[in-house]
Amino acid sequence: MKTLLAALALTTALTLPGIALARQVTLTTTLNPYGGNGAYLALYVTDAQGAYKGSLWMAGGKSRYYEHLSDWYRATGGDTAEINGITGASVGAGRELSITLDLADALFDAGYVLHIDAAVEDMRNSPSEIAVPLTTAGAGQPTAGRRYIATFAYDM
Amino acid sequence: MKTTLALLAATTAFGALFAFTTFDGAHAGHRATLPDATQEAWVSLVSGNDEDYDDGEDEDCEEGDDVEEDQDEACIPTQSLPPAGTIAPPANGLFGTGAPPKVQVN
Repeated sequence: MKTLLAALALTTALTLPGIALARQVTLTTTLNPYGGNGAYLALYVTDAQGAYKGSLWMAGGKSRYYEHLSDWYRATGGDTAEINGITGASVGAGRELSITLDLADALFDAGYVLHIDAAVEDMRNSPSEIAVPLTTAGAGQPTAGRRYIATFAYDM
Repeated sequence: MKTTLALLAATTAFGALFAFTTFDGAHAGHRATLPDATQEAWVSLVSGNDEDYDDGEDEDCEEGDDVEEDQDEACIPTQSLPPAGTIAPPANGLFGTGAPPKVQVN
């Protein structure tokens, strides 16, 4: 009986960390009133070596424009399988995009960097307009963009 | 006794499955290194045809318009991609449990 209880405790101890390996994170991107059409935004993650790890969100539904999200496109070849189920509409000037995701705990405090590429029709592309390290200390702290993005912040 | 053993087996299987899917994806990403950023202009690809620009509404790609007008890659209409929130995100190791994202634009 004692052996069984010990085994039960062990398996439970192994299971609980798995459940705790994810956390809800809200990514909030506020655009400047830049006076153009809706912006395409690619949110993706690179590792500590700068290697592309995967995409978190694509704002903008037409793949023909994805090449203007140039860093993302260079890393993925524009493969739409990367953004299956995580694609929404482009975001209008001055609007705020808020995305809540269940992200792996391993992404935080491990050298990963969240990037946002931005592009607007007839205006200049803005690759990696946001590049912010994913850390628990950085949560809730706004980061200013260069061109189309006023601020970006992640909360958890 | 049987119940305890079944419970043990279930918790072990659940833990193993969850740990495998999370860690396997987290460490098996792409290795394409990103080069320095460039800033090229987004030149209108459709000769000023506003109807072909995505302004937030879902539109079908017109048949053949990429080949004939843009010499661009294939145009995949929005409808061919599963709408966000209806399926689990890609298994790229970034998403913890595979729960669909929630999005809001204000």
